[in-house]
Amino acid sequence: MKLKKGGNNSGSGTNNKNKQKWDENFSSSNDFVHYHTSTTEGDPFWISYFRTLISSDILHKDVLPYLQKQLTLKELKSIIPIQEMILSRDSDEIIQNIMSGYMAIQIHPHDDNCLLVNIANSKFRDVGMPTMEASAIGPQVGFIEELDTNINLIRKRLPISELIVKEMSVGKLSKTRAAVLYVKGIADQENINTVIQRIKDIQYDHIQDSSYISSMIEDNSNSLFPQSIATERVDRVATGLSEGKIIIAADGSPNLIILPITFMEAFIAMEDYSYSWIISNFFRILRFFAVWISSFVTPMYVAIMTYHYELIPERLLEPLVGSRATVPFPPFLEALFLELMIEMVKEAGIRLPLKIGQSLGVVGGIVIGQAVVEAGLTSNVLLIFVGLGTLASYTSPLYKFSNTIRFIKFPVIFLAAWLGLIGVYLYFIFTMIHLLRLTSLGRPYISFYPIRKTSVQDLWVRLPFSMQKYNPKNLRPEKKKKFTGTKKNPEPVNDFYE
Amino acid sequence: MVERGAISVILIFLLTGCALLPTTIVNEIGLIQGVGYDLADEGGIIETLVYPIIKKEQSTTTEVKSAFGQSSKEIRTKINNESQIRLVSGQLRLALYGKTLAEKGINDFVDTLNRDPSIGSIVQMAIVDGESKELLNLNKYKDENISIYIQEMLDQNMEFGQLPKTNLQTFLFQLFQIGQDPYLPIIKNVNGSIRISGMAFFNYDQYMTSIPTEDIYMFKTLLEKNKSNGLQAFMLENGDKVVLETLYSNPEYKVKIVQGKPEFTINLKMKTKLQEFASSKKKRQSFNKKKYQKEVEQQLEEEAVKIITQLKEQQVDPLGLGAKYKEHYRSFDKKEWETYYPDVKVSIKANVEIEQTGTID
Repeated sequence: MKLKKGGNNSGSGTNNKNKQKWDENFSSSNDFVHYHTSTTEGDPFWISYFRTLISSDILHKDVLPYLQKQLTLKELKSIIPIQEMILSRDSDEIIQNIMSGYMAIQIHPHDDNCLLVNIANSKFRDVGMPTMEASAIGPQVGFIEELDTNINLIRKRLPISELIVKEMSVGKLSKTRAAVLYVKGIADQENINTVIQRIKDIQYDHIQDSSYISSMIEDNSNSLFPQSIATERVDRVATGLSEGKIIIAADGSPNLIILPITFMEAFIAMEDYSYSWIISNFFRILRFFAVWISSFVTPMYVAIMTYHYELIPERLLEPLVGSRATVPFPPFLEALFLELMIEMVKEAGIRLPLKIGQSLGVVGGIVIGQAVVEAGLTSNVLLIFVGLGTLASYTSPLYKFSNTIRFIKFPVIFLAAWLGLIGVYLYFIFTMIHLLRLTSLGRPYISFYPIRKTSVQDLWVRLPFSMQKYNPKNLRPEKKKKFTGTKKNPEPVNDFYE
Repeated sequence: MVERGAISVILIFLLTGCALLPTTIVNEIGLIQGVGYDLADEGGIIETLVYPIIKKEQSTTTEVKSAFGQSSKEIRTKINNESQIRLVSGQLRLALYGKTLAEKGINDFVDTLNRDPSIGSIVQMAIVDGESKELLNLNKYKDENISIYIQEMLDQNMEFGQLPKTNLQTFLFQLFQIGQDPYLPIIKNVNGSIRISGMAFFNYDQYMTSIPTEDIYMFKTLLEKNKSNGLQAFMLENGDKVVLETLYSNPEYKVKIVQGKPEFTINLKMKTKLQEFASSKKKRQSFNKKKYQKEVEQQLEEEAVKIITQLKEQQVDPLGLGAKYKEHYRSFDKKEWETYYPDVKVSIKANVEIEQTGTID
């Protein structure tokens, strides 16, 4: 059977059958064009393409003028001024290429030999600012939906031949082009192999975005914590590559996936490297504490107000109790009500168009917030805590991670209302156990066990560049140091070296 | 793993009977902040409770309620009968004991504070010269939260003033420590306002004797190392007045055991700052540091001896001399020590240094 099939592809007797296969499927679409360029019957050429996939500019300027003469396909290939051309008779290849914006040129309408010319319309939006990961200073370039542009942006930042791009197609229906990027000689070969193998194993038909890939290849897809970073910042990707991380890019997605990562990386903003190391440490630690505040301030309020009145300092007693004096609900319902309200305001704000969203924010934040307190349904103090928690959850530079933080407080509120502070501690312990068990690409997710020297240089804190000597050890990089050359013989001879 | 997690959550639900723990939602409970115990004529006690009624956007008022009974928690139940909110004791900040009760022993009413896990150890304690019920009902403090007022009054005097640090924790420590007796401040109603009037010394839990306010700071200096900036005035023999502020003081106890009997030497080291100086000659003159240091030292020693003599006579040992003796002597016997104590030899060597004399010399 196999032999026979092989014969089918190469044998000339069944070519017509092959040809009809791709022709049939295509001609039932109205945007498929298949016509004769000459008025004389029997003259070349016949061309076919999808009107919606190609750029008619290129077609008219660069292809059609050459189709007036009588030439063979080989001759034609040498004169058409377009780079990507394939001579093919494989119907699978023809279908695939026509579907991605190539045109097929044939001498006769039912020839099996085709010249495939790339005249794809690659108009996408321009490279713009990163919208979800904005920064005040530093490069303001964000990825866009086109894979080649994205790789171009990365190659500009890492103009070395060691930057390897491995492309593959994922999804039977979407045929998404996915690319795995890494720097040879730095990235660990085992990590590379794992990523490529996992992507190849994806059997899902429809891959819409790089997030599909990342959630399919994550070590634990039931975890609330993202085990990869989805970023639109070029500098974050380039930095990751240079440290030995692996990037997954997918065509049609402005977010690139960085693997493997650690928990602490959710608190690193690329801006940190633009400031003095002391200042950036302050902000990094601030973000870290903001996350704890965000997930535990409301549960603590619920627990203390419901069970542990002993813990309230006597000076705080009056404001805390006084503000709750007319609230008819237990603290649990009060907190749940307010938290859900804020989540609703936020959710509606995202779904609505920008301008309406803004005014909605005002209505939700000020009008409802004020009115709820005045009506005596919640206390002022809780409103402050909830507002603080919401604000704090957005300090993480990664949007996916902020959402995790915003979600995890709800189970804690339940536990706090049910068991008091013991519930809060239980939740904390279970979260820590989970984080300690979690891995990203088989590497430990939480960065404080085992303790490594590299995590002191640039993870928990950021030391000055002169002290960031090593690439993160949890990545098992092949190149251990962050600089080339030895102490005795430093490569750049520069008197002004910091 | 997921199953195990789910099972453990269900188990926690089942094991706690699916019910919430008894809640104490802050605005549904009465937070007792102050409590006073007095001896009643009929042999029982009168307990007074103070708790605030906190309202939204209104000034807080306090409720003061008293009842007669035999035990603290029994009276709590009685007072609960006339309260619209449940009374709880987790916010207790002040415990007062009437003097007559203290003379009979206060252990029973300290025990209940110690036993209750919701009561913290920073509860301030004081002995009332008079009746604590009367003190807590004083008209002048009607609009004030009287228990917090007294607590803060004692607190600030302990931190910056004359009083040595006492609270429930120190009281219990001294009570249970072998070779030391507790001490507590005495407060008094003086013409309608509350004032610290002395220091009470206990033998175990029974009030024995007291020293007046003027001597409290001397006692504090003998007791512990401190940097509390307390003032001490010295009227010298020649009529000069010297007022010194303590910058640092440290009593060093030396124990010497002679034939099984202890002898104590207290090396009192003080660094001070001259705050006030008035010469008897009514004439401006420069301050002779060396001369006055010596005279002040002498006077300090005299005062210290006076206090220690009083303590020895009354058989109370708040300085913990017994405990210090025990540290140095393995075959310490409490009964034996008690017989030694009234005539134990305690000598004091003061070493005062006037470090700062202010902006004039």
